[in-house]
Amino acid sequence: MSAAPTWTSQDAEYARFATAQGSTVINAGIAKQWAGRLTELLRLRDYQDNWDGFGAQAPDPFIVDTAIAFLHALRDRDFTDPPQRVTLSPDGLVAIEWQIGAEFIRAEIGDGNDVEWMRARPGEETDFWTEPLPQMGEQAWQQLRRSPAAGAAVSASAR
Amino acid sequence: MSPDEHILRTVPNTADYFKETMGHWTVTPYAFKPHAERDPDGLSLFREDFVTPQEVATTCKHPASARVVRLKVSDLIALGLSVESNPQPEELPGHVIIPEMNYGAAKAKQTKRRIDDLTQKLAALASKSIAYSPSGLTWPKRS
Repeated sequence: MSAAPTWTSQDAEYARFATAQGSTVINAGIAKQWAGRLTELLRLRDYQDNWDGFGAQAPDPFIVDTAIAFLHALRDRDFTDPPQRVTLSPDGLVAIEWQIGAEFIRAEIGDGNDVEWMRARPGEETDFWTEPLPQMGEQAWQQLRRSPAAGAAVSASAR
Repeated sequence: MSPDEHILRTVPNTADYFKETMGHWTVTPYAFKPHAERDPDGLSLFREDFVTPQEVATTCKHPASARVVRLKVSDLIALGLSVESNPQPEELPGHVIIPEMNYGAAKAKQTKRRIDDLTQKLAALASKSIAYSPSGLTWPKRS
């Protein structure tokens, strides 16, 4: 039997979530993956200009916080399917990515009101579609736009 | 330029660009997204007949260093792309661009999805052909 992962203080929310789901080692492992992606997104907020060594601008905190809110929505939608990578484009878009067998799936978040999805499979046409960002309420979005530092709190209240 | 030639692109060794567990897409598609500073007229690469992968790696000033990926010109042609010689005094010898993949096209609404699809295809090709990793370089993790 695998040992249960060791939780850090930052993972506490996810540990509680896993417990609520049945406190299995499998759930704990999945919860760790969600926590990892959240931690990676939070660290994007610290990136400065020229973060890529080629002159890319620092990411917009509003876009990163929007991606965090969307990560929470994804987790609530299907806890068993955590993404494997989050990444930042040179022009400041945030991608949440999955690789499942030979399939690549990406959700891309920018400064618009929609998430753009892409699904690629070898030998097939690549699919694109959009979905509206999670409904946070206009007041919460306006607050987030005015004060990016409040993003985490706004995201938490929207869950 | 011969279809049998290989061309090289530098990719910063950061977790935004590489993740070993991502299989066919170890290199993220964003490594091929046209960059405002780097790719204004087309995706910037170098001919391996002119420079070594080690030399190309030095064009990236990221403190975490860089890896260099290799693409075959015939694979790009098969994707409907062209490769144009683009010598620049401030660049290493053998500088080329893929003009269809320029920064403006990546930003324009009518061409963005086409560029996005190409970036994932190039990333899949590059993930199979990492030409150079500095000695002792480990896979990146956000710390």
